[in-house]
Amino acid sequence: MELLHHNISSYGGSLDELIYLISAAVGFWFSIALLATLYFTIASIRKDGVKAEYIKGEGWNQTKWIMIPVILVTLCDVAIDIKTHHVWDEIKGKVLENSEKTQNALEIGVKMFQFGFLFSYDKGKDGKFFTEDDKILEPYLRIPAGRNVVYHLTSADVIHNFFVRNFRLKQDAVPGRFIMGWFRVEPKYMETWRTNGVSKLEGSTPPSPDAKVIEFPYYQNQKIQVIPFENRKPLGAQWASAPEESRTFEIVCSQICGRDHGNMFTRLIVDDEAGWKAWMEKEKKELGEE
Amino acid sequence: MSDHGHHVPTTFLGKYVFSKDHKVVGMQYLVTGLLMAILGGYFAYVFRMQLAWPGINIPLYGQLDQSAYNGFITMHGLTMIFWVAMPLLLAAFGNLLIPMMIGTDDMAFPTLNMMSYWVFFLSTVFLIASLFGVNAVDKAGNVISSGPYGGGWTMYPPLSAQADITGTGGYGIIENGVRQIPHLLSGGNLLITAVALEFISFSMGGINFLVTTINMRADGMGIMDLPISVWMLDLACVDFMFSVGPLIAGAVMLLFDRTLGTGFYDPNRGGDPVLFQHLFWFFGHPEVYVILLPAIGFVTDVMATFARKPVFGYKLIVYSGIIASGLSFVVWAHHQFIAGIDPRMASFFSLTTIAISIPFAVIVFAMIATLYKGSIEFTVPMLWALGWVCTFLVGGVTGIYLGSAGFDIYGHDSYFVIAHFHYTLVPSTLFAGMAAIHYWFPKFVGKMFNNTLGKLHFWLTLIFFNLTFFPIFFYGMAGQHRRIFQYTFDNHPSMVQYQPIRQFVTTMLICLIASQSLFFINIIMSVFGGEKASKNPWKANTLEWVADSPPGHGNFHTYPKVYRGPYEYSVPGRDSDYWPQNEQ
Repeated sequence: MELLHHNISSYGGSLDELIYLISAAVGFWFSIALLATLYFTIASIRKDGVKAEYIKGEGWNQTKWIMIPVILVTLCDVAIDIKTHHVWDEIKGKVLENSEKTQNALEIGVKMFQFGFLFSYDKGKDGKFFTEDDKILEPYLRIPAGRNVVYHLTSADVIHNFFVRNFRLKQDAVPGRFIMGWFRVEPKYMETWRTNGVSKLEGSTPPSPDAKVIEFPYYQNQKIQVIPFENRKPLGAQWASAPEESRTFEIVCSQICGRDHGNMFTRLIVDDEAGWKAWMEKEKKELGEE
Repeated sequence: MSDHGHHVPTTFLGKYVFSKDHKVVGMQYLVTGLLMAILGGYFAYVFRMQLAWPGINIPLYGQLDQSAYNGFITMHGLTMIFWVAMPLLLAAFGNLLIPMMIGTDDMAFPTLNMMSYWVFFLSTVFLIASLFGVNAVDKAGNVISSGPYGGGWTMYPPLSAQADITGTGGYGIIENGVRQIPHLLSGGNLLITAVALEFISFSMGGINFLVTTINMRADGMGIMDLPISVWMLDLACVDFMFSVGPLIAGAVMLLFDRTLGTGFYDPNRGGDPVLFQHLFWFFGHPEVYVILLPAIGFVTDVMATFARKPVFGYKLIVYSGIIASGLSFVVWAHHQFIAGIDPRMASFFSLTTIAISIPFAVIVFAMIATLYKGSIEFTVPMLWALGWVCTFLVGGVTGIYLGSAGFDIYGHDSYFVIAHFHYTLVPSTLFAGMAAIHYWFPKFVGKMFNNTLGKLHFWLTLIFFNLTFFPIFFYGMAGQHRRIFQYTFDNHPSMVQYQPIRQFVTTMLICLIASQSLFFINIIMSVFGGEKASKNPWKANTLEWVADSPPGHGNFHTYPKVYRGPYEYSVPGRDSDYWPQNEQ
């Protein structure tokens, strides 16, 4: 079973580092506090003839035993604050023109609604997303690795949330406004992505010798093939030529939005630059104006 | 002492129903809170069964579809926070303890106190009615759909402002191109009314607690001679009363959107959905400290009594409590980091949220230091108090993750949040609540609990609580998002691998719920057949132990005068290891 799912974004690693930092600090203080509690309790079990000590915790000599740890906790907090600031700024800081985040960026409109997604790949002549002249519209997200993507996120009705687990990215979609953000998939993380074809776009997963069949007898007699994580193979350097299902990730709605919130999901497909261009050409031919 | 001039009640109605006696009012809140806990627990059982075995016919319910699932998780959260945690910790024990711990005969405003319970009772009626709210009627007036509101206990608009056939937020009902408002008797309307009534009730109670503590303390009892429980109950009242106003306003605006068709939260009419979030969480965050602070108070008092030691750093704890209460007003937007607020504002709230861990670290370290070189007796209340420390530590430290805006980008609305708040709210409500109930039951009921049952109940709860909620951190960290009715191959394939853990958690929850039956058995056995309690079975110092068990009308035969603080245990040079506040 995976704890943190494979990250493919340029900034996901920083967020993971923040998790490790917080875990180290918090794990340390939790252990100390728990051990102190258990030790003091066991060492102080009532014994005949032994009185408790009258310690009021007044004066520096006594209070230093908690104030010094509190000062050390504060220093840990400061370290967490600093790393938090870097991660927050990198992922959520304002997406400004001509910055590292927007160089050569691909702009995509994301509209969430009850209960699905719509992605617009071309603003059209009016320079606004989701107006009449947006022709390249799909219910799934397809992007090239190695290129910055700036998204313009909105909602058609209620508050939704755009969550891409493998980017470590979440952003609420609020009706009435466009919220901008960015991401970039790193090709090197695509090489180490281990897939079992569980995330599929269409068709069924071919049976694999390593697959374990789990039965869900209560849900419409579904049989599911799941390859244990340890047995999955990384995509490798030729990831771009792997079948589409192997380069497909989950996008879900992560803010309760109504009855079918639990069924609100779509897919992210990652191409390399060349493959994506070919796909976009095909889209323009089929959907857009020539 | 108060000068009420009221007569001693003689009728059954006057003594036990419409009673102005703080002890009766406290018991009324306690019993209501415990009964509502059964309802809240039932909701949790039903939706956890669906998660573990998707699509089954759940025993004692039936099949749970996604709409009903949303309704159940919403009602579970609301019931547990507003109709279990607050009545048990704040209203019940505030009413029972404050007048007795300060050595007076009743609250400052006994009639207002009685009214506060009955307004609360009315809110409970509305809450239960909302389970059967009318969502849609056909042209002939027949009800085609009914059920509770299901948009999460947080009730964010626009979802909570729109009408839909399921009541839990469907596609919205549109007639002739106009989006319809919900039915007047819809679950959401009844729910908002219930919450508003509850807020009114607690505001009445809050006034009472504060005025009583400030004005009616016994002769010689300075503000720094108050037991920590009283300090924490009063700080909780201050937090509640300063923060609830904005939410009442926000809830009224939501009710107007739902009944009058206004557009406070409708962006198409110049409104802003995020406004509700601010109004909600400005209250919502202090609210969790309203639940936590009394728990800290009870655990501290229990620990001092059974360690036979003064509370370590009384003044430090009081000042840290005041600082934390104040800071609780400037952290609220950590619930909205990724809601679309300005990223610079998010940075500010991340700083304050992580900073609030500092006064709480002082308090928890001081509580642990109280145990050092004590003389500890493992009574049932002491076990629950120690259990609170160990379990709350998990909840407290996992709050650091979520307070960091960077982590929250990933952790928001995930099961990690669920695990975090269950490790803070359940210890406070269940562990500290049980510590308080077991500690003060002899005083207010006049009987002792069965010790063996009490210990068994504690150990089973501790074990099953941890086995239920600790695994949730695991798949929460893996990114499993919340408020989803099932995680199967069709909808969330990457979450299927955690199904065995989901089933384990549900099984442990059933064991946890079953273990609580020991408590109910114990109460019934002890109320009717328990050993009679003496005035001061725990040999404690505070003033409530001076009164009879149970106390009569007016509480004390002679009103006590106070000579020292509440924690003079094991004072050197004295034979006795305790020195009551009222003894010279």
